[in-house]
Amino acid sequence: MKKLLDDPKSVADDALEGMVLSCPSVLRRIPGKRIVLRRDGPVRGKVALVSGAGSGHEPAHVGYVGRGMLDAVAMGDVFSAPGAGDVLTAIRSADGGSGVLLVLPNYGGDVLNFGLAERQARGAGIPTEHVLVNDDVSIREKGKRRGVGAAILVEKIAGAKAERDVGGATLADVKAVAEAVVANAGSMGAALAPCVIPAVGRPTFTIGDDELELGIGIHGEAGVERVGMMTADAVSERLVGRIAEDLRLSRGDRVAVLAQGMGGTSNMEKFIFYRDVRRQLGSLGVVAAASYVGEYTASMEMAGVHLTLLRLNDELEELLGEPTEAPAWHAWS
Amino acid sequence: MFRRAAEAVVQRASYLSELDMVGDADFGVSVSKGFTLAVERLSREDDPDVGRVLAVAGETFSMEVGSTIGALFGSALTEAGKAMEGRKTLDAGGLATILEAMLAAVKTAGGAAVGDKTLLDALEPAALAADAAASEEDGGLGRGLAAAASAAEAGSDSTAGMVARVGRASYLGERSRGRVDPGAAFIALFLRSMSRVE
Repeated sequence: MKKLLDDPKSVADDALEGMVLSCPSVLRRIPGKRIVLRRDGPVRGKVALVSGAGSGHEPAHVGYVGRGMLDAVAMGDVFSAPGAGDVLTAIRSADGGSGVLLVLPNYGGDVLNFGLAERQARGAGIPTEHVLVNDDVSIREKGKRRGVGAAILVEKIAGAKAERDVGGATLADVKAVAEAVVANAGSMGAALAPCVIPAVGRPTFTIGDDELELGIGIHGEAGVERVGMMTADAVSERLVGRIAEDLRLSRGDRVAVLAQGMGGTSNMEKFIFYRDVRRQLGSLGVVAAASYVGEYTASMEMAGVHLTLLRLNDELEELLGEPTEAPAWHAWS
Repeated sequence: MFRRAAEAVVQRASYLSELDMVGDADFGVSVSKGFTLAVERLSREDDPDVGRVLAVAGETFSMEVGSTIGALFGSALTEAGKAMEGRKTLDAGGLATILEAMLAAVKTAGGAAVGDKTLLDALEPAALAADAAASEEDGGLGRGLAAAASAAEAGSDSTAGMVARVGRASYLGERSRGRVDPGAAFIALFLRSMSRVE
């Protein structure tokens, strides 16, 4: 393993420290903890949004803390769910008196730890709800779908709803918008090369020079299907095809396109892939109303791409366009 | 006794991480952290009884460790702590009670069943073995632990031939066969460490 780091066992803390130091006007860290808050919070009367996940997905989710998106995040060790104690602390710190919505990616560890924190927060008198993000359509069974790129769109859109309407939007309103995003989003990815978890020191799986892994998650785990290497066009056809089928996209539908690299893929490749995605959408008569290309929930240096399509309505499209101070939200990240 | 078993597990942590390669390899780091913290907290308690040791360890794993194993093992120990509240000594019957409580907690929280290739495949045989040992006339804690550990090891080894049906390894389908489940291996390791101390 050849990585630029200091201690393989403290990569999660070290990277988090770096992110917070780089953006002190927006981000504030609870000392000694992997918990990051928006510096100008808590915002009284606003529904608070809290998320978290394992580290290793930088810029997610620390990069999405800030006005217009998340109020707080609790981050676990690399690819590990954060502890319930830290999630609870994040909830308490973010709470502005109007309840807290947890953006919860569908993984066993996250569901258990966030669930415990949610129960304890409620027990402490903080109204807390969660929205389960399960957008990975490479998995047929809906209940087992992983939470991948759509989590960022939930954070943006629900975050905008809460921010735009302080005192007006209730926890139920914000949760409804978040659920609308999950219900209308689908994602799928493909990997060319695995990543290495620093504390382990070896790749998470092996793949040949002429192979491609389809239906990948974002934790370095191998995907659903191993195939021979394809062109970007062929990959986009598979990914767009599967997502469009699952969402039942029709001619005239407007979508947001989030085309992300997994961390180890060049910008050149990302934009070639995005171009091919646009061609596929074009042939389906689906309109790309908003596009985001870059890294959003990466997997360290994994080589590959992940595509999220969100079918938009007027409200979702408007909220998507609202401004935010979260440092990692850009058209091109 | 718990402390010595905990230290033994910490030493084997890297082995556990390798096992978790089908998933996300956080395993060894997570359980080491849990045991280290739990031992630290217990050292500040004034002569905790069996129930208290389990409760403190359970809360530590649930709140501080994170990842799936933190939450599952935490809730398992917490339930065991409730079942052993006020008990000052541990005998074969107590061991059976503990393992049964842990088993029930994991089944409820995790949503998995025996045969899904999880820690249940080690924990259930262990609980059954502890039960059987407790009802034997000459059954002491030592024999109970040895029986539970052996049953857990056999259960853990058997997971190598299984296809994972829950958790991140389940996305691999048939490709998840051939490796022992890290959760099951962990339970076996934990029980064997406890039986060696005794």
